[in-house]
Amino acid sequence: MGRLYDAVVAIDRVIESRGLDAFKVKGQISMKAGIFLAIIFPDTPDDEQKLQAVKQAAEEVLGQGINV
Amino acid sequence: MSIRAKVIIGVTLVFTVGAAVVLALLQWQYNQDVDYVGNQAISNAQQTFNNLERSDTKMLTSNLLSLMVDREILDLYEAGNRQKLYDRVAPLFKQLTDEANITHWYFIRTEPDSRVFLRVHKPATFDDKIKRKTYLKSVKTKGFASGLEMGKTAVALRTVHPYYDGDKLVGYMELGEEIDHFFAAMKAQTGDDYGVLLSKGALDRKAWADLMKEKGKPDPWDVRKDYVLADSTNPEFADEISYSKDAESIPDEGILLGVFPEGGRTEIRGLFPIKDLTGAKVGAVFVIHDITFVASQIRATQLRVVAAVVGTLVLVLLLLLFGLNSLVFRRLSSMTSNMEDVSTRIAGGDYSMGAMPQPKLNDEIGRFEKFFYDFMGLISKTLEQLVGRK
Repeated sequence: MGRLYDAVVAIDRVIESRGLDAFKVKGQISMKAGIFLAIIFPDTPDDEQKLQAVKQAAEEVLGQGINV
Repeated sequence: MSIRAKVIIGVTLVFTVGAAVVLALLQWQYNQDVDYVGNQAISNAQQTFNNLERSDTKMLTSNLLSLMVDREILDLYEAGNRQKLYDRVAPLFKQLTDEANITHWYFIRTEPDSRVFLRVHKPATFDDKIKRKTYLKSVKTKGFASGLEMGKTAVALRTVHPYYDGDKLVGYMELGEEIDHFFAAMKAQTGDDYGVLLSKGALDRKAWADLMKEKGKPDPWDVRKDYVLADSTNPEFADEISYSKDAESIPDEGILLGVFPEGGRTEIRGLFPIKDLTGAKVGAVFVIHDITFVASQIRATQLRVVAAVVGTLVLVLLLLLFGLNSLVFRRLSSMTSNMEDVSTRIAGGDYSMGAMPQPKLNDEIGRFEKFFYDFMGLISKTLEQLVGRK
């Protein structure tokens, strides 16, 4: 699975563990990163720039980093 | 800075400027009103003065005519017996003084002699040569010559006429009156106070000093630079009566000096020139017109207008802000919040737009809201299809 998808899974895990509003949080991360998380699938090709954007956006929205 | 703050500041500024303009206009109008009232007071005073001069001239003329046809007086004059003439006319003169304010009566010899034969009002002084303008005019025209004339210490209204025995010119007779009683009459008519400023250049300094000494009054000669205050209707206002320029500079129609607050009163001051029969300005009549009541009325009206204007402006401002807040800012805030939420949720994968709030009003903001929701609905469906295909 691609690392982009791994990032999305990591984000879902944090959302679930904290009981957050998934649509809202993932929407906020999407808008910050400039990428729809909803269209990142397991076979979505990796893109280092996009990956960094997602990780940074996630850190800003969740207040914690994600390990990918 | 938020739009709301900008609107509040902008509208407040506009209304403040508007209120300031209204205040300025009110003040301008007040000044116009006061100027009008002041100029009217000066004009009325001048008219009254001129009317008194005209009517007293007629009075002097008619008295002179009556005296000149008195045979006994003529015979005594032609006989050259000054004492007998005085004895005859003195009682008459007293009557003229008591009844008509006539203060001068002259018998003057013919030109080129022109010496005073008898001053009924001052019998001890005679044989001085008369060079006054009224006399000289009567000599020239051989008719009546009347007008204001500056003496050594005062302004007097004089009327002179050739004195005939049949066709033979035997001299000149003159009647005159000091004009100080004019101002009491003017005050009785207008309610204003007056002062008489005489140009120092037209007076005789020594004669003036002697007159003050004779009257037992302090000499005011040095109190003012170019004028002496010869008379006033209210001694309490003496200090207010002054003018810094010479009499010739005073316009014929008079001049308004301004509005002056004075110990609880508000008064308008102005003056008009006193002209002698040649048109030379020998002094001025100072006018003090009390506008305390009028000024307070105008100010009260101004305050009411200001209160009404400011009150209305504040009310309009509040209504405007309330309206803007209800129709625009609050809705914008709510709309922005909804849009942010919808956009974020779609971005997060929530493609259900079923629960989107529909705009309540079909105005500019309502139409934009509807457009946005419709557009986001389309985006949402498209994304759902794309994601579903994958």
